[in-house]
Amino acid sequence: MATTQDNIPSSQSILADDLKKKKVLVVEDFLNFRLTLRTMLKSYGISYIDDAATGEEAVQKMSSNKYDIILCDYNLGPGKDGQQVLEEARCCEYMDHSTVFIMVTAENTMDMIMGALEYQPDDYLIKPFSKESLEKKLRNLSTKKESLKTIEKAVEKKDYTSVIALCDEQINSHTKSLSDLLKLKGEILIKKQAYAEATKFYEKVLGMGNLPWAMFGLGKVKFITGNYNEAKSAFEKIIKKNNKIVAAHDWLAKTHEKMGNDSEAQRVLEDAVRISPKAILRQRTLGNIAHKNKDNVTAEYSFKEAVKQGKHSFLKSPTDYTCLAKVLVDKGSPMESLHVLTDAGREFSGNPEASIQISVAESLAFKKLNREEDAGKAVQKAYKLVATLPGRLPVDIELDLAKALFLTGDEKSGKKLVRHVVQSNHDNQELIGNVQAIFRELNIEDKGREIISAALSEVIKLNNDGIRLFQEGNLGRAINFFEQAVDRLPDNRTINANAAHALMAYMQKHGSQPRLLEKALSYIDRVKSIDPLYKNLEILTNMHKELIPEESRNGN
Amino acid sequence: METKMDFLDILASTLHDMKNSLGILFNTLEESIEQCREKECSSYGGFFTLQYEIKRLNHSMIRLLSLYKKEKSQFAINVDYYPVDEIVDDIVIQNKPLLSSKGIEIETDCPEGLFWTFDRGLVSGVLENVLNNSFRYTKDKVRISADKEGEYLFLRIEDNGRGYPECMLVDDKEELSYKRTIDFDTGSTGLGLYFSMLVAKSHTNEDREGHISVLNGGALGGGAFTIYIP
Repeated sequence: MATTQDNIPSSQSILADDLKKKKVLVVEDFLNFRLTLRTMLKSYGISYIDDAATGEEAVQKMSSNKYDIILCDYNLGPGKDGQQVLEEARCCEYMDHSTVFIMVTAENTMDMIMGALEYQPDDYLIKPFSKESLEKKLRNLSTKKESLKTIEKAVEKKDYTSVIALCDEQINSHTKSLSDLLKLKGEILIKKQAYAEATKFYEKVLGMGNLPWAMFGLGKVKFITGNYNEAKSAFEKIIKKNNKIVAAHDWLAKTHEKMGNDSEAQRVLEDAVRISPKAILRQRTLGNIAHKNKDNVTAEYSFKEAVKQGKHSFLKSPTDYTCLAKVLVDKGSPMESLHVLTDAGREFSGNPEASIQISVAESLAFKKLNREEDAGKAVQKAYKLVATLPGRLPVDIELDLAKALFLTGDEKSGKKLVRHVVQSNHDNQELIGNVQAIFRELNIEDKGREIISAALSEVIKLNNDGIRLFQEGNLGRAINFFEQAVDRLPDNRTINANAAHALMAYMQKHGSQPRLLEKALSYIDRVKSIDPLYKNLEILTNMHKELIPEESRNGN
Repeated sequence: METKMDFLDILASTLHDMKNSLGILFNTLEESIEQCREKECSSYGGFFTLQYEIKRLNHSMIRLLSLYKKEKSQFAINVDYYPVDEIVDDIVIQNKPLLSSKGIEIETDCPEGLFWTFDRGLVSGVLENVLNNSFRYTKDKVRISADKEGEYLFLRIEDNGRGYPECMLVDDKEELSYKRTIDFDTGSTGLGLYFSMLVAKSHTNEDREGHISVLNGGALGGGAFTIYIP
């Protein structure tokens, strides 16, 4: 049926007043256009309008104010660009799912979406646009956000089963937000670790059209489930269609690495960096893989870029400095390496984790300069700092430190640290392989194998003894046993998971107890923080949820 | 050391700059039109011709930038799954003030709940360009329609003007190339058509490719432009 468009559809005018109450931030470096945007917004009755002329100012304002709508120009001069503003605001949670973020661009959107598969704005607006277009867009997006509100709440509560149900309900109800709902459903299925369902879902979506995000989701699922060949082909298909989607390059490189093709991984990342050089994380990954491939020229360049780009970014990390320092040592420039580390010390003063990394890297540079005594001192300084840390030291740093301890002759402390790493990660084959590689580099492979297998057999025996008690139905003793095991190995995901399991099995038999429920949850949370992708996490979480008595479930 | 700048790069960055100025011009004009409407001053009508020409310039620049990217092998499409009626509505809102100023009526016909996979920016660009031309060539009616046809989505713009000249007609699925020479008499470069073909062809689904058709007749008896997306 043909209709003549005369006025704005009535469903929109209902919300006319709502727009007036919105708090808006305009991010635009060009004064003239900033004023134009203000005039437009005022004409819709909006009175709360803030503006920012640079990306830095925008992020700063977003960190202290909560806006409903952000209109952000992509091109903001020399500092952060619009995409970086968006990424930082999302990462640091300066905006939640109800915030509307519109990217304003001077040209077609293709340039902007490079690599933006994971952080996309709600919409793009191409300059010039009329007052009417902006108004319509704002209204549509506000309505859309409103309709997704219940879903977003469930997402924030991590109640994934409800999210899926709500998504399905809306998907079947002829909504304009279909695409958003489909994307969300896929992401949640992955978060829920429902990989078989996620695969089926993405395949179905791909049947509706060749959507890069669906192919990307499928590739991710294949990657997580270890089907690297299929993951590789998915990411390659995306790149073949549109090589500007850099996120696909990143994941393709990861896949190559898992498949043992380190040189291929490096090549893919070099392509990605050429397309989109302004990306700290990518430069960092490229630096690491190039260093692994002994391509010190590329590694040096990438880490230098990461350091440079990190200067004004929230992604600034001491690891970029220490990695650069290590590359410089390997390249035969230990003095330059020490300079970099001095810079790092200044940038990260008061950060003990950074100090540990810096001292470890310093010891390598001293070693290269044959300053054995200084090398030893630096390592010991790092080792002493470990005890002062409140939480766990990341495994990579722990291993670096262990290696430096061996190198400087403190085998006793080195061995102790390696044992801790191995025993905390006894079922992580990849990591155990890395530990072995370190001993190989140190030319003490046999000794290393001995240390590793002694550490492993201890923890395997411990875990098996506990499981035996559990299987014999001796739940009370199993609980005690695992609780003690957790005290000994607080960072071992399997021991934590088993402790939670024993507690919950006990409650399934004898009824729930608030104190035990709380304890079980703390073990589950520990597993999650050690390894968010732990294979039985979903089962444990559901088991726990079912044990919560009905009345307190509603109460909370 | 090669320090000479590539002319194409200079051209592209200049185009970006020009587009920015044009954006300001467009929005300033919008404000003036708004003020004039309130005061009911006499120069009101003339402003729309200005707006039409600005839009024409803007479309030309978008086309040039896209062709620049194609030349540099940077042309890529960014598809997603969109409600078709929303795209049509957007285009109507963008162009209605201009067309209404000349008494041109816009009619739409698009089923609700129809979704399709395509690059929204590029396809809108093609349609806006055609619609902007209607300002000059139609009598008093424009019709935008969209629907599924076989395994393709079609988006069609028809008018009740004199229709397209013979040399611009494109038949369904004809092998497309930019063969026309620039006609300095009419100022027509055929670039608009070439751009439309480029956009259509870059949409593929399995072994099917998009295409366009430019015909006369149609529902309103004038020109009929259609883009087909697999």
